Amino acid sequence: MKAGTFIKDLSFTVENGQFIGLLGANGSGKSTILKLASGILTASGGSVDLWGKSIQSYKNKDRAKLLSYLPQVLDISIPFTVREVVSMGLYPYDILPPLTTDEALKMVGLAHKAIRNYNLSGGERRRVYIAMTLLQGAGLVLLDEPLANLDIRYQIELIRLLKELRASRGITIIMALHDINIALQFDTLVLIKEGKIIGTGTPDAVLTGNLLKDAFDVEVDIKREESGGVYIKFSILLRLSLTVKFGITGESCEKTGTAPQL
Amino acid sequence: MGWKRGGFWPDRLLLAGVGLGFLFSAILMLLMSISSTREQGVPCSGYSATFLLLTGPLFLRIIFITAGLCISLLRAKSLNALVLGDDFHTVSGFPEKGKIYSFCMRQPHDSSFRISCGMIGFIGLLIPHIARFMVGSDNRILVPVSAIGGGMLLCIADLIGKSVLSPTELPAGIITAIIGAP
Repeated sequence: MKAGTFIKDLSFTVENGQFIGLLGANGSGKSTILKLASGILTASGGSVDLWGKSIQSYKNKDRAKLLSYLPQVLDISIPFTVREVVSMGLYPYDILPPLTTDEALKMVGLAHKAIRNYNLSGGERRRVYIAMTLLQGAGLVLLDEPLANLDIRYQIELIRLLKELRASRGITIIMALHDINIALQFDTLVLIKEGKIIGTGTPDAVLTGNLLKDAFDVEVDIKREESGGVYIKFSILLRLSLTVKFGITGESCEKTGTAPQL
Repeated sequence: MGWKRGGFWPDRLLLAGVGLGFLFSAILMLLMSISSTREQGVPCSGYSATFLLLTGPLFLRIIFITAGLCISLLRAKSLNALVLGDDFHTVSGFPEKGKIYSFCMRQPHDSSFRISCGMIGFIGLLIPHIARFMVGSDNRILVPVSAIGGGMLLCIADLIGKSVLSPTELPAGIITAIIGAP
C-alpha cells in the first residue's frame, strides 16, 4: 500500500440491472468509490472497468452517455431556472435522448416549478439534480447520498422511482446512503469500513448486528417480524440508548415508526 | 451600499466599492478632460473609445478577439456545466483541457480589447448582468447577447460623449461609469 492510499483490496462486480447500496460510516470511502467508478478520480493502482473496457479508455462524451453521476455536494450561485438546470442532463447528447426535460421534471414532482428561478429549498434542489441525472439517460446511475435533505415522502418516492426505472429501462444503480431502513430496499448492499469491504450481499446477509457494529461502532440489535417489519435498536456510546422503530413492508417501503425515544 | 436586511453583505460591499471606485475615477477623468481642453497639457488617454491607444498590429487583435469569442461560444455548454462544479463538468463529458483553453484565451482576448479602445469601466460588469435579467443565465445565449449589448452601450456612450459638450469630447468610459455606477 502506497503512502496516502485510502482504498485497498477492494473489488466487486456489478451486473446489469442491479440496485446496489453502498453503506458505511462517514469517511469510509463511499464517495471515493463512486468517483473512481465515474472516472472523476483515477486509481493509482488496479482498474475500474465499464462494460469490459477500462473506464479511462472511453472518450469523455461516450462515457457520459453510459454513466451519470450525482455528486454529494452540488450548489449553484447563478440564477438558472429549474428547467435550465435539468436540461444540463442533455449535454452529452447531440440528438434528443429518450426522456424529455418535462418528463424528468414530472418524475420528481417539480413540473409546476419548471420556469421558476433557482431559489428552492434544499430538498427541492436535490430533486432537481436527480431529474437532471435521470435525464442524462445513462445505463449506469451513480448517486452519492441523493436522499440527503429529502423528506420521508420524497425518500420513498425516489426509491420507488429508481426501482421503476430499473424495471422499465433496465438501468443499473449504485447509491451511497446512510439510512439502514432504506438499505433494506436494495438488491445488494456493500458495507464499507475505512476503504475496505467488510460485507456484501443481500440486505438480510449484510444488515446483521455484528457487521453493523463493526462498520458504525455502535451496538445494533435487529429484530425481524413475520410481517416483514424490522426493528432496529442502536445503543450509542455515552450510554445513550436510541430506539428507532420502523415498519418497512417489502416493496411499498412505508415508514410507520414512532418518534425516537431517548 | 453594502447594507441589506440589517447587516453587511460582503459581496454587496465589494461590488459597491468597485462601483464607487469607477465613479470617482470617472469624475476625475471628466475634470481632467474638461481642463485638458483649456490647458492642452493633461493627458486623458484612458477611459476612451476614440482616443489613441491603437498599438499593435490590427490583424493580430482581430484574430485574438474573434478566437476568444468563438471559444466562448463553442464552450458555452461547458461553462454552464462548470457552474455545477468540476465533478459535474467531467461527468457531463467535457474534456479537462477545455478549461485550460478557455483560461489561456481569456488574456489575449481581453488585452486586445484594452489596447484597442482603452479601459472602459462597467461594460464587462454591467452588461452580462443586464443580459442575464433579459435572456437568462444560459451561456449559449448570454455570451452573444452580452457581446452585442456591450458593443451597443459603448457606441451609445461614445456618441453621447462626442455630442453633449461638443466640440469638447468626453471619453466614453466616463459616460459608461456615470450610467453604471448608480
